[in-house]
Formats: sequence, structure tokens, C-alpha cells
Amino acid sequence: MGVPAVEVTGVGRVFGRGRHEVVALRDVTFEVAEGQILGVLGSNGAGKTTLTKILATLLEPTTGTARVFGHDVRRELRAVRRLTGVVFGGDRGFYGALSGRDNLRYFAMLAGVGRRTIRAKVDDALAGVGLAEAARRPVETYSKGMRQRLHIALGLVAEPRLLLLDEPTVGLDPVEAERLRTTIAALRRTGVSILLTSHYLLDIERLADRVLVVAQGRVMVDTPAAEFARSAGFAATVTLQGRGPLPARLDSYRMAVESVEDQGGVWTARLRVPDWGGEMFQQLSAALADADVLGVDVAPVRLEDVYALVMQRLAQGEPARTAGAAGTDRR
Amino acid sequence: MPAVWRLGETVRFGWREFHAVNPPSVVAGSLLPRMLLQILFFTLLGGVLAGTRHQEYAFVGGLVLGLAMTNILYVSQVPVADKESGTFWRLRTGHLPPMVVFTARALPYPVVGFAVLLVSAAVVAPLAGLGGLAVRLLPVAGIYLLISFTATAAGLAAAAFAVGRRAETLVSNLMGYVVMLCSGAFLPPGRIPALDAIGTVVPGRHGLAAIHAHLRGDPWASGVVAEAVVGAAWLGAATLVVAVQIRRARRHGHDDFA
Amino acid sequence: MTERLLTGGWVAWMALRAEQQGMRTRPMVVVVAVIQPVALLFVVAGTRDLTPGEATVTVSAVVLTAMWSATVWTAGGVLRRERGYGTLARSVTSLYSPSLVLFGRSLGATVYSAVGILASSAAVVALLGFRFAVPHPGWLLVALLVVVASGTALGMLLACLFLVTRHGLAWSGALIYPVFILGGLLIPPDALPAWLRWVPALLSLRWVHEFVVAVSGGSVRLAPLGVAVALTLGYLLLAVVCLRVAVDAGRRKGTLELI
Repeated sequence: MGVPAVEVTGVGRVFGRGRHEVVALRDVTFEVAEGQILGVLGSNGAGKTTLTKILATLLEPTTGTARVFGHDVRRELRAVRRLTGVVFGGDRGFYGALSGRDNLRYFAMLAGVGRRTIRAKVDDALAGVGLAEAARRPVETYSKGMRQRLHIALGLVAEPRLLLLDEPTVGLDPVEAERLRTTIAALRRTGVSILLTSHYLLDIERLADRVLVVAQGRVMVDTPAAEFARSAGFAATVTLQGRGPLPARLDSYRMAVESVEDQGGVWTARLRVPDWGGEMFQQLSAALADADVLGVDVAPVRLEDVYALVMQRLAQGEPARTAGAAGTDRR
Repeated sequence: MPAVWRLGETVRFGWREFHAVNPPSVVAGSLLPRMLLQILFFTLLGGVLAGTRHQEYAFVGGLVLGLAMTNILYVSQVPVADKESGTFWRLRTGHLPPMVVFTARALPYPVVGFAVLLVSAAVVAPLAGLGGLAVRLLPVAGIYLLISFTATAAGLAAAAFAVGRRAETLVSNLMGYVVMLCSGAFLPPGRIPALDAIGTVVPGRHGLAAIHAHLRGDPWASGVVAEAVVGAAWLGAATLVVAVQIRRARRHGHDDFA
Repeated sequence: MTERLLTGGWVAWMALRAEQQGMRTRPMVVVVAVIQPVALLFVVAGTRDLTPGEATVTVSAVVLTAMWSATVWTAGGVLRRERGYGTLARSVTSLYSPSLVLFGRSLGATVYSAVGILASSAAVVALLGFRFAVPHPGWLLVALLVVVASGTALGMLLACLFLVTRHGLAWSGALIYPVFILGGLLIPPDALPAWLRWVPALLSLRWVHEFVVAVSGGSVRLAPLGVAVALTLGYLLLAVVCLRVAVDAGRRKGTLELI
């Protein structure tokens, strides 16, 4: 086990004083292993961007320590900056009247790319994000997706070992967003460690190895992504429609009936099943053997469902995940 | 009458807009010192370059310069607001003609500009030892008010033309400097004929001639009329520019003033 | 050591180039570098006929006055504009000293403005037929270099000051005319009230003006130039300290809008 890419211990961040004090982060502790993608989920104001800024050395933590490949973000700024690429995204962050190439070259220089290699690296970065042809156009003529890609190019041009992505797909159409996810997924193969904040669950679902849920400045969940998906307590929702009497054994075995409706002799039952494998299929078939089934629909649980459930449980003061789920729950 | 009510609403909106963009702290902390120091600078420069008589001349003209350059620059906030907010399409599809809307919204600028001028004059005159001259200018304060309006009209025309090209700062400043050179505010007429020729259509020129006529005891009404005509012409130019913008917007499908 | 110096020079050069590329797209540059000096020259030339000696004093005063205005709006606005573009974070929290980056940008802005001012002034001077004596062209070149250095340092200092307030644009406008009046350039110090005559001594450009006027008269007096250089170094030191304090405080308090 090498040095973790990110090691955050007891980090807190307070803004303002007295009546105007805002606690953005409280006692945050987590790690990102080298080569891992950590997805940070949270609603607006949860503290995700504050966390990113601290790791990017743009902001000092009020309490606690944060390290990037062993270097302290408070005291070893240059070392951290040398290892880190940052993508904040959005419409701003460039000189609009200058070309994409001019912008990228200038910021690549600031990010530490040397004068002997800068030309080649800028060319590669632009080609890598599909902006080679548009490189000489002013950035103000770029679409939102193109600007986002330029942000990514900027974050990668200095070949960082850690990439901080703050809501990279916000405002993008589905095609552009998917293209961006493909680019990020490809980075995994190069060994880059990534901390990805988002409130788009699809980003996390497609990319993250681990999931961190942040709410009100605290880490509420820190778990492998697969475990997070399972933390809802079920793997799929099965919707059955049929005529005549409702099958008696629907809620037997490991099926949990979520709801049953009956309208004009046609019943609709929604079941939650813990997994969707061969055995589950056989049990369901057995339960429906004598029923007049009109239709079956299977919807695997989405991360959105899990996230909504987690946030609902937290709001009600309950544990974030169901008992028996692996990973760490925090209060 | 709905049209009169709409106009009244637009004027009221213009004042709220002015207040939001230029709250009292900005008027007192930025606009006033800027105009005051501009007038003081030109007054002192007049004395340094050409003696006491020219200092008096420069004070009379400096009041026009301060007023015109400030109004021309600041009134560009009106069309720029619609460009930056992306609201021009609402103006061109509304019940009032866009130029009427711009003009109504621009009303605070000449009014506040004139008020700031009065304060500036009250401060600069004693500092420069020209209190007596300032008192003699009081009967023709109305001409300065007229110039405040004519300069604002010219500023509106310049801004409406330039805002789509991100050049409103350049064009507004250029117009301000044209006023400086060609209105006779600092350079008396007859010094540089080419500048005099341009000056016939520049706001402030004829009004200033009327003011100097008053100081000499000569008739000055024709200068006031000429100033008003120049102001109306600039308003007409602004109307034409905005009409062209609307046509381009309909043809090209955008509202960027481009 | 050599490599570090070369890298530092390269960083400053890239920053200079980036600033000049940006200036080509900003219309305000035309105002301060061309329109203003041309207008001021016409104003002073049109008021009365100037002798060659007076022409030197007046033209150099106009050029230096225009340099002050250009410094405020171009070099002095570097960090304010960066905040507007959303590029401030990358500029002041890069691998390199933010002072080095700011120096490069300020120098780029000052050189660009100076070239514009000198070219437009030369054109007007030729058009109006002014006559000058230039007995020590080498020393005039030295004066020009000091002007560029001073403008750069002043620009850096102003950039830092405008960084800590939201009203940078309003302050920029408010700083122009006080120096026009109190800078000892177009309005000589002896035209000011006695209690204000010390103020021009704080402006390096005023000392350069004194040096240039003396050189044009045939006498090389190094003392005013020395004072100008000393003030320039003072502005530079103050700028470096201010920038470091502003960025560190911004990181600690989270008040610097780095994004």
C-alpha cells in the first residue's frame, strides 16, 4: 500500500465570525487511494466545493489536516500544486477574447509545464478533449460543452497525479456529459487518482469506486460504490400486473411488497427484491404460478433512489444505510 | 391612457434602475469627486497655460466638460444593461418603442448629472478664487441643464451604436474627448478651424456660446435654440441606430446588439 | 540557479505576452494610449503657442500624465480583471510566485501603453510642428526605461489595492484626477497651495519629468532620476508585500474570490 492520494483527517472549515459564522465543514475524515475515483455526493451547500478548494490549496482548513500524496496542503503548497490538477468548470475561468490554445498555453505554464514541452503538451491536451480544430477560436465563441472540455484539458495538461473535478457535467447536454464521463473513465487506466464532486448521480454511478456522502458539512457515508448501491436494502423493483385474486405468496421468501393497488379487478403490485438472480426469478415464478399475470416489469435500483433514501433517513435522524450494509456510517 | 401610464411606469423604473446601479454612495463617493476634480483640473490647467483670464474661461467650459463627459459615459449603462441581461428582445416586442423606453430610463442621468454639477461648482469656484464668476453664471444655470440633456442624448446614441461591439467604453470616451476638443469648453473658437467645424454638431458647443454671450451681455437665445436642435438631432440619431439594431435582430435572430 | 532564473524569466515573459494579447482585445486601451494623450496635446497646444523649451516641458508632462492614466486602467486593473474573468485563482495560486506573474502582466501592460502613448504623441507633435532640442538622447532613453519600470511597479501596487475591494472600478476612476492635479506634471507644484506642494514628491513620474526637463535644457541631474528609481523600488516592495498578505489572508479567511 503506497501513500494515499488524499488523506483528510478531522478537517473543519468555518467562514465568518459571531452571528455571521458559517460552518462549511465539520470533522471530515476520509482517504482516496492512489488510482481510485472517489465520488462525493451532496446537495447544494453541503460542503463539496469547500472540500475541493482545500485540497486545491485555494483555502486553508480551519482545523484538521489534509495531505495530497503525503504533502500538507497548508505548509507544502508548491508540492501539492505540482501533483494536483483542478477542474471547477462553468462559463468563467478563461480569457474569453483569447483563443483556447492561448488560454491553455498560458495556464499550462502557470501549472508548471516546462517551456521545452509546453507546445507538445498543449497540442496533446487539446486533441485529447477534441478541441484541436477549435483551438484558434476565441473561447467566447465556444459552446458550454466545449468550455467544459477546455477546463478538463487545463486540469490534465500538467499530467497531475490527482485530479479534482468539481461538478464537471453541470449544464451539459446528455451527449456532452456522456463524452466527458468517457474521458474521465479513460483517465482511470492511466493511474490518475480522482476526486469527483457532483449532484448528478449518473456521474457517480458510472465512474466512482468509492462514494462519500456529505451533508451539512459532515461525511455521512463513506463506502465502496457497489456497497452504496446496495445500501438501499434491495436490488430491484418488480412491478406485477394481473387479474383475479392476488397471489398469496408474494411477500414470502425474500420479496418485500412495497405497494398493492386494485382497480376494476386488475391488481398492480410493486415488490422490492434483494437481488435479481436465477434463484430470485424462480421464487417469483413459483409465487405467480397460479396467477393470471398480465405484465412484469423489472427496474434495477438506481443510485438516485439510493441517494434519496439515504437523505430521507438522515433527515429523519436514522442511520444512512440499512443494517448489514458494509462501509462506514457517520453521525 | 395606457400609453401614458406605460411611459410613467418606465420613467419610474428608470429611477429605480439608476438607484440600483448608482446608489447614493456611488454618486457621492465616485461620480461627484470625479466631476469635481475634472472641473478643478481643467480650471487650474487653464490658468497654468494661459493666465487668469483663461482660467475663468476654462472654469465656465470646465463645468460643461465635467457634465458632458460624465453623462456621456454613465448613460451607456442603460443599453448595456439590456445587452448584458439579455432583455432587449422584451423591449423590441413590447408595447412601447424601444427608443422611448431607453429615453425614459435615461432621464435620471441628466437630472442627477446637473445636481452633481451644482455641488461641484459650489466647491470648485471658491477653491479657484472664482466665486464671483460662479454667481454670475447662476441666471444661466438652465443652459447647463439643457446641455446635461443634450450630452445625455449624444451618449445614448454612442452607446446604442457601440454596445454590440463591446466598444461602448471606447466610443463613449471618444465622444467625451470630442466634446473636450470641439465644444469650445477649453479651446476658444477660432484657434483650430477643423475642431470648430466638428463642434457645430457636438453637445455643449452652442450652449456654451450662449453662456459666454450672457457673460458679455450679448443676446444668447439663438445659442440655446441651436443647442436644443443639436440635442434633438442626437436623439434622432439614437433612434435610427436602435431601429437598425431591431432590424438586424429580426433578420439574424439574436438580441446581442451585434 | 541559471535554470531558475531562466524559468523565472520565461514565466514573466509568458505573463507579459498574455497581458498584451488581452490588451489587443480591449478598447479601453485605445482611450488611454491614444485618445487621451492626443486630446491633451491638442488642448495644451491649442491654448497658446509654445516655445521649444515650453514644448519640452508640456509634451513630457502630457506623456507622463497619460502614462499615469494608462497605469491605473491597464496595469492597475490586471487582478481586478482576473477576478471578473474567473481566472484569479490560477494566477495567484500557481507554482510560481504571484508577484512574478503580476510583474510580467504589469510590465506587459505598461510597455504596450507606453508604445501607444509615445507613438500617438509623436504623431501629434509632428502634426503641430513642435520643435525640440534633444541634447542627450541616451539619457532620455534611460528616463524612458525608468518610466516603464515605475509604471510597472505602480501598476502592481494599484492592482493589489484594487484586489481587496469590490469597488475597484470606481476607485480606478477616482484616482485619475487627483494625480492629474497633484502629480506635479501638467499642474506644476508651485501652482498648488503651499500645504499641498509636498504631494507631488511621492510620485516617481514627477521626478522623471524634472530629470527630462533638465536633460532637454542640456543639464544631466541624476538626483531626480535617483529619487524616481528609489520610489519605484519602494512601490515594488510594497506591492510584493501587499499581494502576499492579500492572497494569504484570502486563503485563510476564504474572502478572496478565487473562483
